[in-house]
Formats: sequence, C-alpha cells, structure tokens
Amino acid sequence: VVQVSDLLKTLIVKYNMRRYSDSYVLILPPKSSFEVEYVPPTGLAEIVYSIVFSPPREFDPDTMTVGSELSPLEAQRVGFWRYTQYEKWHWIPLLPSNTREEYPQFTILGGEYGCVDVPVNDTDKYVLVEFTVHVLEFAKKHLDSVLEDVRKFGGG
Amino acid sequence: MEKQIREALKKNKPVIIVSSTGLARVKSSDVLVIRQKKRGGK
Repeated sequence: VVQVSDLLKTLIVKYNMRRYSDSYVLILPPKSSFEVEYVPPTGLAEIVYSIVFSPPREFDPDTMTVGSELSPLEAQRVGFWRYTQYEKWHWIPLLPSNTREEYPQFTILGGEYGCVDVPVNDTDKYVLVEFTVHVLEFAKKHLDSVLEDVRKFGGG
Repeated sequence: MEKQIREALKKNKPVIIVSSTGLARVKSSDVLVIRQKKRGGK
C-alpha cells in the first residue's frame, strides 16, 4: 500500500499541493533500451514519493498477448538505470524483491532538479513492464520553501 | 493503437504508453510514444 508520510501531509496542506498518479506501460524488444526524462508542466514542480513496478512479463508481438512473469534470473536483466538529485546512477533490476513492494522515492522535479530513467531489456525476449509513479504537484515558486521545510524536518 | 505497436515492434522499436498527465519525455525517434487521451474529468 502506498502511504503519504506525515511530512508530506504537512507540505500538502501548507503549499496547496495536488496529489495524482501516473501510469506507464513499456514494451521492450530484446536487447533494447532508451532514455526518458521527466519534465513538470511550466510553472509547476513535483515531488515523486513512490513508484510501484510490475514484474516483467513475456510479450508476444505476433499475438499481442502478455505471458508469464520472467524468472528471477531473467528478471535481473530487465530494469531501469536511474539518476536524480538525491539518487546516484543505479540499476534497479525488476527482481521480485523490487516489484513486490513499493519503491521508495523522494524525487524533486523542477528548476535545477531532474530525473533520468533508462529502461533496459537485456534478455532475448520481448518484455512488458508497467509502473505507476505517485506524485505531488505544486507551484514552482514554492520549491525553495518546500525544500527548506524538508531540511528543518530532518534537523538539517 | 494495436497497429502502431505491431509496426514499431517489427522494427525493434521500444514502445511506451504514457497516461495523459504523464511527465515522461522521450527524445529518441526510435521509440514509439503513445500518450493516452484524456477521458472525462477536467
């Protein structure tokens, strides 16, 4: 279950944030990858506070049908390279240990803060993956104040 | 949409289906990006 922390609840009320979720479906051919950036609408900033990944599943491009989940040995070769302000470049393999629970996030989007994902399928199969990101949206003019409140919350 | 996906996959192009509010931006033209239209709501 995706939960909103007490800190975020406080920020939602203080800065009139709006919560929503975005869902994505990827169909990745064998040995494929590409780069995705996440760009907030003009005048807005975002906090991504959670991602939920599905297990990778086989996909048949001839019949357009989704098959069974990949085994962990195959699933470790499907995932995302990811970089954000608060995350170093790291590989998120879509193993059961990453897909059976929400993937925690605190990603700021807007201003100097960005996020790049590189979905990768390094198997010899067509693979379907879907994921949902949970987002708080607010006026970009509040971004510095929001980050200052987060620092205070952490005692920094 | 199904036809678009079949054709992309025949060319080994990845496919990403993005919800209408999705923030994802893909620069490469070797990727099929399908942005779902808004259905109802505001």
